[in-house]
Amino acid sequence: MKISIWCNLILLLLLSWEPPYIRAQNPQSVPNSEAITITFPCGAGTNQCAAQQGADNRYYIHVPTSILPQIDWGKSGATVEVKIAKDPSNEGNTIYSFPFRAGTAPLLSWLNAGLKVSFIPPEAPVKRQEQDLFPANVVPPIPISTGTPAAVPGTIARVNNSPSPPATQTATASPAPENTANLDLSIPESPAFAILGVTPQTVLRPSSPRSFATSILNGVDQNGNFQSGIAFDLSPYLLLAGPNLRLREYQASYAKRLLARTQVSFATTKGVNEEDKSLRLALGFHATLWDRGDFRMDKELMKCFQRAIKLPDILPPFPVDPPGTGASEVEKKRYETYLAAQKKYDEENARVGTLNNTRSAQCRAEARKRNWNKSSWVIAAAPSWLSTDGQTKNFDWNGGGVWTSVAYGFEGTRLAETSQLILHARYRNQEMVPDPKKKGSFINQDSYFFGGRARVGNENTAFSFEGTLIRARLQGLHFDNSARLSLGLERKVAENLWLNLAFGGESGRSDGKNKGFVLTSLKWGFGEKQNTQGQ
Amino acid sequence: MPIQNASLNPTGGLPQVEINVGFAHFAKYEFWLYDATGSNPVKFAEGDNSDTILDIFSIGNPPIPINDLANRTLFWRAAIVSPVDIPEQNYAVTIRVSQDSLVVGTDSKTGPIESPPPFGFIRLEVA
Repeated sequence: MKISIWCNLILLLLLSWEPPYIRAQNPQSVPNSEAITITFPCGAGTNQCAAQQGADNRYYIHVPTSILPQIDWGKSGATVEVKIAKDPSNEGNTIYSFPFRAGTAPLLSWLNAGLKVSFIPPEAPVKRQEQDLFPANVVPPIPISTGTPAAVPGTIARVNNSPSPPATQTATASPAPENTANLDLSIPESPAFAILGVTPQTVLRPSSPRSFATSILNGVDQNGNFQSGIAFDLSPYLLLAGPNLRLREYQASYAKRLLARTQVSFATTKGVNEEDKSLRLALGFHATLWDRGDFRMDKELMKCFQRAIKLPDILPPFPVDPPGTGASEVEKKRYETYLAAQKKYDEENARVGTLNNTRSAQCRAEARKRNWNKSSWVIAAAPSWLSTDGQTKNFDWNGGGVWTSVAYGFEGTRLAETSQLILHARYRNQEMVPDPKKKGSFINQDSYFFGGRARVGNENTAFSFEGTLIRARLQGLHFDNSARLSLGLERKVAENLWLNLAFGGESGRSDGKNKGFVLTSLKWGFGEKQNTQGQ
Repeated sequence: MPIQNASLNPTGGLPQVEINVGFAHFAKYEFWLYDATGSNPVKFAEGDNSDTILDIFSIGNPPIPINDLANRTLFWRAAIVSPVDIPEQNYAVTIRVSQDSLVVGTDSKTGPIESPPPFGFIRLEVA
């Protein structure tokens, strides 16, 4: 109890501590979370960089053009207008300038990293300063007659042709490696496949649903029978209401998040050997009740997007109607000029779009590092049907199942970045399984699964240890308790390709048929339209 | 590029323009206003849809009286990216011009999320 009190006191002290330099520079006690820090890697004492405060509440930093600053935007989400201009007094220099809050003063410090400037941005968010930031007289008209698109000043704008990139590029948007871009940590197991017992893991990992996904299966079920199958997974809400689902509504409404992350699946599998010709069918319903790793709720990801995503620096030409058959030469020329300007804008727009895709991929890669093992909780239910002879006209009720998985990401501990613990419970009733005493016939089975899975790794590689207690009862018999232990590896081996390897063994079966097993699977991620899983 | 139309009531209230981006995607956007000759564009609003500030604005900054909006053209554009790591997603963006809570003009775009930033024009008519 006393330890708990001391821990709470220490936590309160840590939370209330602010770096002294901000307080010293800000007599108005502006919280340091509002501070923005720009670091110029000048090298201390080299006289490469110079700073001066302007009379216009802006600060000016003169640096060699080759030096690119790094910006830490702080926690407030505020942005400022950072202007970049050539230094008229030194051809090899660039001047960066930014506004700061009246009544405060930027703090300069020389660190190993170079010149560090911390300052409080102006009070009003940039979004509310539209009139000040974009006065009409600074936006040149679009000269349609020449086809030259207008330059556009932005919130963070480049104001001349300096070879230096915009400040925000250096802050957040170095090109992302292509191989980090396109896949969630792992493709979710289809809930309908899960109830048919053909997922590689017994302990099912909570994962984000996709609005539409297809899985193809070739593998071994829990009874050792080869199965082939296909599953379709969809999120009805995303499919039907997705075009109108706004990010702010999603973030603010638990109900909408729940709906968007509720998945319906349909799966069928078929035995492929003489002993098991059965055809299985299942529906699945899967809901994510809680997820601390939801990318759409990740404020850091949103800040990264705010910094990294850009619009073109030019405007498209004002639309001009195609000249008719009797059009004058002037009208034809005007239209040609328009087409040329439109082509130029399209090229620039495409370039910016590609850049945004690369930058957003990098933001998501960083988010994946933060979120790959966050805590979450899912529940699922699935009814199923079975045709023992494989004929579709002979489907019989095959019971159903319910299960839940809770993942704990050790948030706030030293294990937060490397580990995850998943607990799983499942009940399955009236499942028709091959009768071990009578070849070719089936018998009902009820079963419980209680399992845990520990995962250690990162967003690209995870080792896991899984233990499951299986309590199953064949019709008319007593419960048979057995255990299953396995070690596993999930590894991203190439873009959109994951290797899943597990080996282990069973113990405690009353029939003595404890078996060792090695399961491998390859998962390909082809997105919503095609998502193929081989096992 | 086709220009959409928005019909404003000369005796109505000040019109507003709103951007809605679907699939809970992130978007950074801008609104510009051209004069009646299709020249002199002025940016009157910008922002992103992930903050707490609503993505709805009066037209012009400061807001321009209705009669002065006649035959002027509103230009919008948005850079849209997905927060989730799933390829082959689509985006959906709708621009609504409203007056006195009535929608008087819209412009919508959909396409693959990897597409270049969508944009469009809406001509303001005062009838």
